[in-house]
Amino acid sequence: MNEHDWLEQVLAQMERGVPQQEALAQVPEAYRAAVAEALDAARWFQTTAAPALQRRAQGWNPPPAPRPQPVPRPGWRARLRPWALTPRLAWALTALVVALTLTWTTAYAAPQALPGQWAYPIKRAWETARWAVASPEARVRLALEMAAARLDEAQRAWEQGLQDATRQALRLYQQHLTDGLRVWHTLPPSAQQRLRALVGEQLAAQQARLQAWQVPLDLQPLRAQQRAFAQAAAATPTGWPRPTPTPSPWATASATAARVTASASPTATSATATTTPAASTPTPTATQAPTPTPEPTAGECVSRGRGRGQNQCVPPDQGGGNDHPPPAGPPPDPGPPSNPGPPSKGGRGRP
Amino acid sequence: MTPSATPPPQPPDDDLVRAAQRGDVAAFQALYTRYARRLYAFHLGYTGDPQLAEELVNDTFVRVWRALPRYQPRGNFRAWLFRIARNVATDAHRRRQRRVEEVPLDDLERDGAVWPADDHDPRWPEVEAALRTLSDDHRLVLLLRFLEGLSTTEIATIMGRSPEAVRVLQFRALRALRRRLDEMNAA
Repeated sequence: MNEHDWLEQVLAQMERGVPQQEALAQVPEAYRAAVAEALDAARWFQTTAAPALQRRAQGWNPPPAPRPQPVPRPGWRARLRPWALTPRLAWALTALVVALTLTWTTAYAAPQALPGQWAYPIKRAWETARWAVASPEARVRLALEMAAARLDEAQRAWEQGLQDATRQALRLYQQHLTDGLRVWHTLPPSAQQRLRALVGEQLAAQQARLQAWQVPLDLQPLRAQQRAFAQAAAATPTGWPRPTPTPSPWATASATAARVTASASPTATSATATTTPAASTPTPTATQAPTPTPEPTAGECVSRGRGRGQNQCVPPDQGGGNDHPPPAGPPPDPGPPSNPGPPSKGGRGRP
Repeated sequence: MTPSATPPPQPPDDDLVRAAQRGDVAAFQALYTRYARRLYAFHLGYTGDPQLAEELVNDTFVRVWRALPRYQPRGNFRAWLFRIARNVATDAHRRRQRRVEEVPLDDLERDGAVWPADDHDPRWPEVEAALRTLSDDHRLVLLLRFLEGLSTTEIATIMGRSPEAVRVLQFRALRALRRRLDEMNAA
C-alpha cells in the first residue's frame, strides 16, 4: 500500500467514527506525515469549504424546474439512420456485417484467391487449421486436395500473367506433395491400403495436368515428387492386412467334416486334387504335419506369426504370379528416386 | 392523538426516474427539487460563478430530461446525475476559457464576473481563494468526495478513470490544497 491507499483507508475509518489520531497510528511512519497533511486539508474542506458552498446553495432560490419540450418522434427515415439506432442494435448490426463479411471472405473470396492477393492468407490459414486437426490418414487426402488446388492456382495465375504467383503456387504444390509423402510413410499398412487407389488416381490426374501444361518453367522437381509419391503408393501391398476370416457356422461345419474325412483316409482326396494346385500337393498326413508357409506372391503379404515383424510382403511390381489386379495408380516411371524416406517427426507440422 | 411531525418518506430516486421516464412531469420536478441545490453547490464550487452555476443547473436538468430514456434505474442515479453535471460544467468551463482569452483577466476579476465576493459569509473569501488556485480535476475530485460524499468508485465512474487513479488524484488535490492554505496563512 502506498500513501494514496493509506489516505483512503484513514478517510474510510474516520467516516466510520474512528478518531483521526487512532486511524493515523496505523499508517506506516514513512507515509504518516504526508497522510496527515492531506487529512488536514480534507478536514478543512469538510468543515469550511463544503459548509460555505452548502450555505450559498441554501440561500439560492432555485427557479422552477425546466420544462423541456418533448422531443418530437423522428420519422421512419430518421429512425432508420445508423446513428439513430440504439447502441445495442447498432452493435448487433455491426457484428452481423462483420460476420457476413467474414463468411463471404471465407466462402467466396478466399477460395478464388491467388498467391499474393489479399484473401490468399485467409485461404492458407483455413487449410493450415484443417491440417492441424486432421488425422494422419486425412492429412494424406488433404495434402492431395491442397496440391490439386495449388496446381489449379498455378495454372490460373499463369493464364493471368502472374509469374510470381505461379512460382509460389508451384513451390507450395511441391511442398504439399512432400508433406503428403512424409505422412504416407507414417501410416499403418491398413490405412495405406485404403488410400492407395485414391492416391494413385489423384496423382495420375495431376501428372496428366502437369504433362499437358506447356510452360517454360522447370517442372522436373514437381514431376519427380509426383513419381516418388506414386511409387510409394504403388508399393503398398494390396493384400495387407489379410482380413481375418470370420468362420461362419457353415464353414466350421464343413471344415470339421473335411477333417473327419481326412482322418478317415490319410491320402489326399482325388476330388480336390483336380481343382486346386495347392490341394494337389501330396500331404503325408493331413492332420499332423505342419503346413509349410507359402512364399508371398507379388503385392501380397503372408503372416509368419504374430506381430508386425513377422510379416513378409512383396511389392506388386516384383516377382511373378500376381493374383491381384494391378494397382490403380499410375505405373511407376523410371524417374529419379527422390523418396525422402520415413520422416522423423511423424508427419506433423504446417502443410 | 397528535399528528406525527416526521415528514413522509421520500420515494427513492429510481422510482421517480421510472415515473419520469413514463412522462410524469411531477416526478421529474421532484428530482429537480431534490438535487437542484446540491447541483448548484457543485457547480458553484467548480466554476465559482453564481450566475453560471444557476445556468449550469438548468442545463444539467435539460440534459437529464433528454437522457432519461436511456438511463437504466439500478440505484446509481446520483452518480449518473453528477456525471452529466460534470460534463455540463466541463463544457461550460471550456467555453468560458475561450471567452476569457479574449478579455483581460484583470477586468473579469475587477468586475466580479469570476469568484465574486460574498458579503454574507465571512469564510467565503478564504474558500474561493483556495479553490480558485486548484486545477479543474483537483477541484472536481474534492467537490465530489467531500461535498457530495461520493466514493472513489463512484467518482471513478463519473470521471471516466480507474479508482486507483482517483485515489492518486485525491491525494494530490489534498496536498495542493494544503500547500495553498499554508501560503494563505503565511500571507
